[in-house]
Amino acid sequence: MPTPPPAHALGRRTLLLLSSTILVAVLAHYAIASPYIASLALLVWCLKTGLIITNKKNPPIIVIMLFTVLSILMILWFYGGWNGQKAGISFLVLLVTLKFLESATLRDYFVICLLLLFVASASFLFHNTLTTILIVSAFVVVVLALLFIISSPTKLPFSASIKQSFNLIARALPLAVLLFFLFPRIQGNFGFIPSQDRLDSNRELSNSLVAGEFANQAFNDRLAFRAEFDGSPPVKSRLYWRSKVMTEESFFSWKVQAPSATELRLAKLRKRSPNELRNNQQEPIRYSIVHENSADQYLPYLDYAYAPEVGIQLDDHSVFKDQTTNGIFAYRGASYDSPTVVEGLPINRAKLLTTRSTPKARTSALLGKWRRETRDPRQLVQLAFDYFKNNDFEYTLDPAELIENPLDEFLFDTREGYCEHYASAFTTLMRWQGVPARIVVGYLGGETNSVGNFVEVKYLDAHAWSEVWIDGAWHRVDPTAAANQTRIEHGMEAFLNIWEQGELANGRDGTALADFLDPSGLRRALNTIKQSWGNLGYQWNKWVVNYDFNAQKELLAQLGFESRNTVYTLVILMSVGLLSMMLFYFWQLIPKAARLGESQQAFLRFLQKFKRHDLFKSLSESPNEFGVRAAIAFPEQALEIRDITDRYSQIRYGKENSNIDSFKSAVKQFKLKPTKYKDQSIEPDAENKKMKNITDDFYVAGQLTENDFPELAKSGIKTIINNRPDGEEAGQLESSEARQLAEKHGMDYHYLPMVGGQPLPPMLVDDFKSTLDESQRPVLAHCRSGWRSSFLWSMGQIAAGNISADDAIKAAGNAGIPLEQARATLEAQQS
Amino acid sequence: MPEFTIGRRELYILPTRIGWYFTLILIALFAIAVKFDNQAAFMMLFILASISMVAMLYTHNNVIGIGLSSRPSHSVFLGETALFPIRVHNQSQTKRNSVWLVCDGFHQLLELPETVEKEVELELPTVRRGYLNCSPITLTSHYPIGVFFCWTKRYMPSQRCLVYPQALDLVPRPMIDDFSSDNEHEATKPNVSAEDYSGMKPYQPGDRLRDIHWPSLAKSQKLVTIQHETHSSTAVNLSWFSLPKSLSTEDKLSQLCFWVIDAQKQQMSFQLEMPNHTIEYDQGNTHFHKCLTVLALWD
Repeated sequence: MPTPPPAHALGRRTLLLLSSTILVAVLAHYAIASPYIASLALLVWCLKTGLIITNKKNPPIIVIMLFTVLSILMILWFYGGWNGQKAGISFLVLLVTLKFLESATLRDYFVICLLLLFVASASFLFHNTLTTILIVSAFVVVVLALLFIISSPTKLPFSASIKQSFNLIARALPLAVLLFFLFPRIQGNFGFIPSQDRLDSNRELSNSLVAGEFANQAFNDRLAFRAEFDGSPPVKSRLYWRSKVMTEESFFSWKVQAPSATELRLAKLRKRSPNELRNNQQEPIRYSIVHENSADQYLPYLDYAYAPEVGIQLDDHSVFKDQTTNGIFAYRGASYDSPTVVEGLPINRAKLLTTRSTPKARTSALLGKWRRETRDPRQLVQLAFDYFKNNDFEYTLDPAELIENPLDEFLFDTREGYCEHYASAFTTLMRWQGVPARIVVGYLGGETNSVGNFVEVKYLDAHAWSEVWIDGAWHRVDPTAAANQTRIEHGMEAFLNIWEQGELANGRDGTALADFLDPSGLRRALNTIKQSWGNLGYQWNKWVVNYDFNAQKELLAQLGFESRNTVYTLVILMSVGLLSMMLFYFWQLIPKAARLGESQQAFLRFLQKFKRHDLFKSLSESPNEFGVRAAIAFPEQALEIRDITDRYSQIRYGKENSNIDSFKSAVKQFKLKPTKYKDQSIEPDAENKKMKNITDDFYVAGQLTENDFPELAKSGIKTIINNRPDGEEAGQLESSEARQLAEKHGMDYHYLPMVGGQPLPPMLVDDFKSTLDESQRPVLAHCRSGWRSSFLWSMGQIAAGNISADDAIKAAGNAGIPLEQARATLEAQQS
Repeated sequence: MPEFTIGRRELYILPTRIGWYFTLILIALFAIAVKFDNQAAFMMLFILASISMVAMLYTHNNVIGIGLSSRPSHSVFLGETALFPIRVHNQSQTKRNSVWLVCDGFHQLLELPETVEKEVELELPTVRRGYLNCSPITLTSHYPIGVFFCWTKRYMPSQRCLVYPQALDLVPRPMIDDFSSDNEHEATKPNVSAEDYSGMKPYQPGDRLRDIHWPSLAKSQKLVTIQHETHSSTAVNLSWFSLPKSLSTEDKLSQLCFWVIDAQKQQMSFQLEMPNHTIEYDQGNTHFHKCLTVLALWD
């Protein structure tokens, strides 16, 4: 592994960008953890940012140490220890800022970026909504862009880095989605991870009902759960979501009695054999619920739940679960419109009639009056209900305070209240009348999201109503309905809308309600946007946040993979998918060879034609230089070659760009006809073997034999040049032997082979000429027939300007050598 | 075509230290996601893991397919810096970002846009005379986010640099040869008029400008230089044997080198006489470099 490249310094702009990214993390920390700790992080951040702006060095180590100790103490003070999610994330945020304070090298900044990514991911433990995911995604894009900037040794503009970061994420997303759906969700616990913090349950349905307190929920528009019905949802006024049942009364307030161990055991037993509960008369309403994070052990089900999937159904129809889960959870439910009749289900009659408060004078009178009218429980219920209906009882969110005798004052003086007042008063009255009654707390209605076709139930939809035991069955009575129909029929949002506009007082609630239910123009558009957003959140929760091993099993079943070992199947599917996607990316991302222009492609085809004859264009060669070389090698087509290379240079480097087509056709028509310099035109016979004089002191000849040498020496030849490569023909005199023979007879010998049928090496002509010039005259050059020798001689002489091409051909012609075929080459040499 | 093209078999890739840190973070995130059964954290984990996987491909593909070739380098004297021109080819349609060319501790950053060739001159110190081979070259890259580091097999440039001995003047120069004129001062002065015209030859690089026969350029479009017969009076025999025996071989070569340079500067004709080899009297650039080559490769 080679040494890593030298580290580069980061510019001030990069540092400031990093600093502002950290600022976002620090500010977001205010929303999660203790503001004091976030302020400490902010302080450290300010210090470092100031140092960056003023271009100063890092503070001494002692300052950093002090801050570190302070951070540790603060975490211990505010969280009482290390264990806990909040302590963990506070520790991380402080770590980021302190690391930032001491950062000096490139690696430090890398580490900060990685820590920021970790902090961003860990923030999902606290907020899991769609808004969070969007903010965190934007944050991650920026941090990734920072990684791009930091790792680039050259200056990278922010916009470019963001673009690259998006590209990378866009490529990573499909892989991530695949991993998300197929990675087996095994359960596990890691000791070193901070344990779960206790949930803040202040803002949820309380286990007790105190008149006046409950109304606060009316303004709590936090989402409780979303429910999607298999069929069409029932009307709002029938959507009674039962959460818990309160049976213990004490002075106008009610309490839930936690199920006893026996009760739970019995309920569990019943759960195992739910057949006895079956109600065959009608199909149940089926729905699935995605519940937000909650610490409540009672699960809301639509009245009246049947064989709940999650939790244990108690005798009072509420559904209880042993342990709270962290985060969003989902379950399916089936409910019947009427309570399932259980044969011989015992009720504790005494308990259901007990009250700790006693009726005061006015109430006693009223009760007495009713008792005189009827003893029938049904009629008693009707009387109480009518009392609320006919006496100008008002439904309000800020009822007057009830001081001494709450029930009396409510019934006769204030006559205004929230659902809890009505339910509480009604239930108490019933008990005093000897009718077993209890309070049910849950939600009523919810907002229908028409985009996603589900019902969204918020905490403000919380509601309390009564149940009375008549003829061996529980009957629901909602006394609030007597006071206000809007709340019951159109839901809490509709009521709130009217309430907030103050239309209730001036009697225009009818038009305001109509406005709310059928909004026009901008309001309608806003509603649609709101609902779309809600739908996105629901789908996100349904598919992502609530995705678990069971959902994976379902997914596999839907994909058609029937398998007993789900984990095994998932792992195989995941590996195969991952591998094939990586291969696809590899293939897609691998750098492709540059696409050439038309002219370049044509020129490459042109070059290809030469390759077959072992003539290659070297990279350093210009097209023209290659043209010259090619023209020498293929002299007969010198003009054509020259033409094509000239045109190519013109197209590529000149201004003119129009005649590509003619250039292409020229290349297409160009056919290489290699000149075989094998001198087939004249057959070497006895005649040809003789010396032929070209000039006074230069002769050419055919192949020499041993016997020729003494003769040549005798005739006065001083130098012999051999242009014929060794081994061209069997029985040919080897150049080494020839050299010995020549030297024996006092002649110089040079071996300058010219290979027949191949391009002419450019140096050969020059070598031949210089050898000729330096040698003692007369000189005899030979090859097989003398053609090649004559050709080389002519090339050299023409290049030096000694003779013209015509002269050379003539001279050779006189000696019986047909040089005419190489005229083009010779003429090319001339210019 | 480049001499060396980086294919898959020529490429290695490993996570950097930052990459290992990144892995640690992923492991911690995995633990958190499992412990709290938090699907959003799982999603985040998978996005980050996928980013690192795609980044690996980016790093790998940033270097693959780059070509390297070397170009001839000029001979230098010992002590001078040898320059090796290396050509880096990006023949693809893809831009290559931040590729480092590493050679013996020398790092050169390269940004290679689409279909571009760039030349880098590697500077290597010379410590010995003779042929100097360029140190092996590797390309490295940690683009895009520094979590992976990839490097190539070592490429040995085919071209080598000839290092002539260091020129050192240790002993006085031998006497001008007997057939030279008796006056040394006159000898060192080139006397143009004394040179006789002996013919024409095609122009060669290194010929003096004033020797170019300009009229023939107009006629034949070719540069022709006038050749002078140098029955020069300034000829010197630079002989190994004239050096004192006390000098070491390297010092002797350095001294001869100095004399050769000196003679060349003064446009003298000189002969280099070595124990088994003599380069006879001549002058001009070719002769000069021939002599220096003999000195450089002496052993």
